[in-house]
Amino acid sequence: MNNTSTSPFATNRVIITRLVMIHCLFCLLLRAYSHTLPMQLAQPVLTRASYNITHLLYNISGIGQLLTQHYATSVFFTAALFAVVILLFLFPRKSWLAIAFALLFLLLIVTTNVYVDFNQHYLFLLWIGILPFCARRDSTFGLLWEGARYYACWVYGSTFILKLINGAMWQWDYGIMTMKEQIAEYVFLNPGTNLTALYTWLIRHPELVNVGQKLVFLAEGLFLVGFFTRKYDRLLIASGLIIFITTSLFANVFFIEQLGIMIMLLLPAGQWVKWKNRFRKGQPVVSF
Amino acid sequence: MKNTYLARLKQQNRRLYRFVIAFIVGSVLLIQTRYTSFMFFDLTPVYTWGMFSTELNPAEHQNYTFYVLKYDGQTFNLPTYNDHKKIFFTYTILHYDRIMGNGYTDPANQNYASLARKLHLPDHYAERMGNTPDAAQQYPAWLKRYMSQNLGQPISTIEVTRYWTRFDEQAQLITDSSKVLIHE
Repeated sequence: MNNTSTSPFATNRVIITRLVMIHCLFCLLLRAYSHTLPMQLAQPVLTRASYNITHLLYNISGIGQLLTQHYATSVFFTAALFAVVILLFLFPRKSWLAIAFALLFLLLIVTTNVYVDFNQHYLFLLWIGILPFCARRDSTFGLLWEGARYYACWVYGSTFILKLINGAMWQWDYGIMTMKEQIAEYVFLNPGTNLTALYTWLIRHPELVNVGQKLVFLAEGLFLVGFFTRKYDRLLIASGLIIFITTSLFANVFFIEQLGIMIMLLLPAGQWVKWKNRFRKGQPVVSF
Repeated sequence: MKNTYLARLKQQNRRLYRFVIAFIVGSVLLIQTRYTSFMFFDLTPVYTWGMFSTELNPAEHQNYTFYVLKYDGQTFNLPTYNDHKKIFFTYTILHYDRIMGNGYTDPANQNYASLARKLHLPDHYAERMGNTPDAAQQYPAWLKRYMSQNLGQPISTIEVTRYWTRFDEQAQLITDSSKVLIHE
């Protein structure tokens, strides 16, 4: 093996694992607060599985019944999810813990997708971001972490490509048409707020919305640059933030899970080294 | 070229390299499966990122429908950063409305039955993939139960109303009509 070509992320496995696990724990606590964990669903009755093969197989298997209709199993599942993420934070090199967490987290995604009747695509990037921790060797981890960064670029880049292929990019009024559709409920429920006033003003100036949305599309397209160089990764993080803020404002969605892992995947190796060294100064590093 | 990601991957872990290549090829080739006439689901195990990508018909986007949920007379209205707390209402009500509008038969059931036939699977596999009319009719009671747990308080009544609206020339939202879907 050529040492010079080893991934620069391989030596930062511990700090990367711990920060990603903190993000995962935050996401799980957000779900607990929001009452969207399987044990909190009050035995849901409707399902929807027509997203992809994984969800169809899940419904056929009957796992959903086990995780949502029986309180004891749903509590055990939730407890296992929290326990594994905390254990992985404490023991970041234990690949079997990462494998267990990846399986449990996939089950959480599919379970909530099936019962919420919506494909929460923003959770899949986080799931892909967990997979590198399943590697036993640090060198393999480094390569997988780099690969997950390419997947993050693919998430946004392919969104842009599909907009070119399927026509959204070429439809001038697309911005104002989708904005009106997305904000109608907010305007109805919140008359008199500053945000409603902003929406009203923007509807009167549709050209601004149309230009703005094309710029957001281009911000997605910028991620294609990430396939060729890491030089502009900080710019890509800024693009991801702009996309997150605009979708929050104009589509009333809050994809915080995707934003967090996207930022971590795009951080340069040098940044992780800096944080690792700062952490070392504060306290001795415990090696597990 | 020797230092590209794929070259390094090939050099250091050939099995992983093959897996990554298969994943890339699969993702690229299967990305458009949902948009073909013969598929109703994605062939990829993970999401394809095509949301807000298809061209819209302006005639179909002049009116905007949404659902308003009230519990004991109070409107359930949360800010965007609390989106997670709303998702089990936002999407399940829409799904219920579709099923109820089809005589309490899940419109997707025929797709599942057709898929099971093509794959020579027994009928109960198709039933497991979809929803029964009985399950759909239990939805209002579930919504009330879940709402009560979500808010952490007992609830006497819930009401879901569907609104049909549009924006007028002055960008004011006009309600054209409304219909109570659930009163439990």
